[in-house]
Amino acid sequence: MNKPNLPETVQPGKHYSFRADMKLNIWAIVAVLLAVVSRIVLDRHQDWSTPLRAAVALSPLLPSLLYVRSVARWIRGMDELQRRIQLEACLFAMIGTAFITTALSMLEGVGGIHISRLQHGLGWEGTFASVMLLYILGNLIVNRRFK
Amino acid sequence: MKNRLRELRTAREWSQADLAEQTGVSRQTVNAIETERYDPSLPLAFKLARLFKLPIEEIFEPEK
Repeated sequence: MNKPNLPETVQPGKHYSFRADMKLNIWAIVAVLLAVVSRIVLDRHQDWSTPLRAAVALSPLLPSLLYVRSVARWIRGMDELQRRIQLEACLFAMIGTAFITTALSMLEGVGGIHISRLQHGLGWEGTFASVMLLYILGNLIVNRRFK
Repeated sequence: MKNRLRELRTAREWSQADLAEQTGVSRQTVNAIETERYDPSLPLAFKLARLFKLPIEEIFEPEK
């Protein structure tokens, strides 16, 4: 019988497997590195044509899509309970992030709150951090139900 | 849903890990089913029934 994918193999602890972690997260690392590099390159080459700058700016999207594909495959390889836990945690993270984004834009509309860094939404760093933090929180909440 | 999974497993002197391996699920899933916090899918219920050589209704019983 095939062993199902287990979340503890990609979390710190005695079951951690570097191989499983890389298989799942390598494209996320590539996407973050590309985003950082593309930002530096765009800052230094403001004279480049718009299509070229757009291509560089959007370059992290390809590894991001590949990351989504590896997450989908990883979840598909889980057993039914783990799959349910992970999907509920993902849903919690997505809805939570949408809620935060909406709340920020509503507060901005009021004009009372002025956070300069968040004037144009959370940005990719903020969105990534929000999704990750809410995913971890969602995981803890859903896991407690089945412990 | 009530079930006799723990009783059947311990009668065979299997650990939760043994049962998990034989059914292709995690130990947490076996534990969640035994503690009645999680109801298995129909395919998993059939797999368990086949493993214990019992009809499903002799392992799982809906709560009244």
